[in-house]
Amino acid sequence: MRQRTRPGVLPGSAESLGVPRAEIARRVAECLGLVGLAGFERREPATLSGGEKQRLAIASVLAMRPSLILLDEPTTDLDPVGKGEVHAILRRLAADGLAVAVIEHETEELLDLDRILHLDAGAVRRDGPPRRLLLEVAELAAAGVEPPVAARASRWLGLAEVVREERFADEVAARGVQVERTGVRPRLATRGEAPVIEVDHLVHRYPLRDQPAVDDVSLAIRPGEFVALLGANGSGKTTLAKHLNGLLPPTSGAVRVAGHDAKKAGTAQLARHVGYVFQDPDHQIFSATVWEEMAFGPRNLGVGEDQLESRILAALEVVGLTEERDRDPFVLTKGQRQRLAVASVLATAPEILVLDEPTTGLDYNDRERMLALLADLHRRGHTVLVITHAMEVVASHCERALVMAGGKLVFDGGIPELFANDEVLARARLRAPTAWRLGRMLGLETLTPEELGAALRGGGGGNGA
Amino acid sequence: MKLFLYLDRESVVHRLHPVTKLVALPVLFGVAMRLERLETLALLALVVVVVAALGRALDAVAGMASLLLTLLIATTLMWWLFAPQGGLLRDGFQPAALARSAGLGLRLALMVASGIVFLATTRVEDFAHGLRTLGLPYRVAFALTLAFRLVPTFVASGRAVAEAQRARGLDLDHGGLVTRMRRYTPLVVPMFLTSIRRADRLAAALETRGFGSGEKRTDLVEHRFGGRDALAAVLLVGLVAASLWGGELASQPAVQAALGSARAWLEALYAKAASRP
Repeated sequence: MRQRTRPGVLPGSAESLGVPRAEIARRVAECLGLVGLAGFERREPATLSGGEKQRLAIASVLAMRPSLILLDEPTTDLDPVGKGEVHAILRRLAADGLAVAVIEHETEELLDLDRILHLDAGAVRRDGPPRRLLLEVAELAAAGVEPPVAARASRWLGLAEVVREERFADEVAARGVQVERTGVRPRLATRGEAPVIEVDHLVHRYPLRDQPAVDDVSLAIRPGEFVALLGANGSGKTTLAKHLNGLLPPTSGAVRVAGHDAKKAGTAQLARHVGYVFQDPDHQIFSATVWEEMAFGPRNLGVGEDQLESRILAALEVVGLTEERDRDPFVLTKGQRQRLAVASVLATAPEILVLDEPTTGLDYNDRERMLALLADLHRRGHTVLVITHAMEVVASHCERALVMAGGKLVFDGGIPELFANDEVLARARLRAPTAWRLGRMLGLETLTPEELGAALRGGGGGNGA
Repeated sequence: MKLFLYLDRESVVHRLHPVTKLVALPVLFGVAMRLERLETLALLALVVVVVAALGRALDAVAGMASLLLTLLIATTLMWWLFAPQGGLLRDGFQPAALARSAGLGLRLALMVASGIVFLATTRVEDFAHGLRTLGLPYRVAFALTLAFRLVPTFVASGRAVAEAQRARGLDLDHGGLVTRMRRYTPLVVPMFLTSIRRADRLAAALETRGFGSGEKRTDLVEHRFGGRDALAAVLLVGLVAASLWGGELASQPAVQAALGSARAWLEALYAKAASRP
């Protein structure tokens, strides 16, 4: 009779290779089990979350029974726990005898692999076990690869290879390093000014969905704050953010931005106050030159040609693209296009900036440039709200975290308070950054690698790095 | 957003062989085209409703009620107003012309409704399998599956582009037609380019998964014709016969007589019921 197991896309690959039918059904079940998607056979792929889709893609390749599986930045878009899940699957597959090769520029998850090939300018520059190779912190940074925090900490301790996280406290004690407790970190400053963003009992329901995407969220953001909006894939953070410039109307509740009711004012009007930078710059870039792309927003808002030039030049200067003004945006690198997207929004001179995953898919150098840019804008007085999965970014730049889980706001407070709150972290599928986790083993509250380094070296130990 | 009509349920109609459904759909269209009178089309509507109920797809049809009603009313109005014979504007009000127009509106709505029932009870994979069984090359059937699969992706990226440009102050609601057309450039260019990039990646992804490897493909979807398909075929033939010769049959003296006595019986029954206190 009818085949009962008929998943949407999974059998595709094995079908193409002419694998017998009964065998395919068996493989489908087995491969879905391997990636933790057992029981998902009949789901529409479009309804899966980001992490689930990535795992499905891995399963669909596994169904062909390859002896080598190649992955190109498989965890870029995933929340911290999702990243960990994918890497755990890959480790299990390697343990079962499959060769796994991952192309990656984030090094934090790579420490437990068997071998790393470091490519530079088209040639293999280094080849070796991760815990040894990644210890060469200075060389990596010079080549534009971010060294993992654990590697830098191991350097400070003078270790011969990158320390295993669970062994960190022992190594510190074994080396007799005195840990210097940094003074009490300044807590979140409460500002006196009136909020520039007020969200009052906001509910948003998408049509035909049972659960509201945003469920009774209230919050206030004051001028000049640097806020992180965090949460798992599908937790409602982007939906919430899209209310701040009127892209989505509230189902109920109210949103006030810079004195306007967001629903009444409409997106075109709010664009004067809120600049919204989307995740994929290619969704907005359409002009033949960088200059024209920059002029689009200000012209929409009725900025006169006399002011246009100075605005565009100022914005290009901020993102470091002045030289590229007459070039075609499509020949720019991903990092440059990302900065162009920010600049084209800056040209509209908004006091509030909302950025959706501004560092996703950027390599180390581009990411550092983007972060320096955001810090600079914050210093100039812009209110900045960043949606991100990158916890190091949150730790080093943000003053405050808003955490969403299942459409609800489950945390609103300072960054150290968030990292110390295991319950919220687990609920929102977040993970404190390495610098915090390592510091915590020593009884510290270190947010950044620099703070961790200062605590270790300040105590008189370590050889520096 | 739910973009597909398919309802993952168990029903007789779901279990029919896709080929049966693929044949039934155009046959139903043909029958609808052949019928002209409002009464007979209403009978066909009853058939479609029964099939929808058997397929547990009534809610899918109801969900599209606004579309169906718009079709029905708009078509009826257009025919009634502008028909070359008996149209309101040419020949003035004629009740028969109105009934005829309503019949034509109903015909169109019925065809769309049966299409909805088909999509609500047939997986895209089964649809493609049915087409292959009918002799369509795999690549063509696959392109159809792919088109369905990509709809939500394209809708999502189209929406993302529109949002990105609206966030930069693009106003699509005001201004004259020409200005508004010109304002679509910032939407069309990124959508076009992201689509091309996606197609490129998709081609690579298909190849890595062995598409066109030259091996003889296994088709995971498997269907056998069963008793219910035979029954469906008999009913279809009956339907076609009724649409072709139903009118003649009804005009035979014997049938007329039978219909007449049935009618008299019903009328008597009605009179009896009405006279009861």
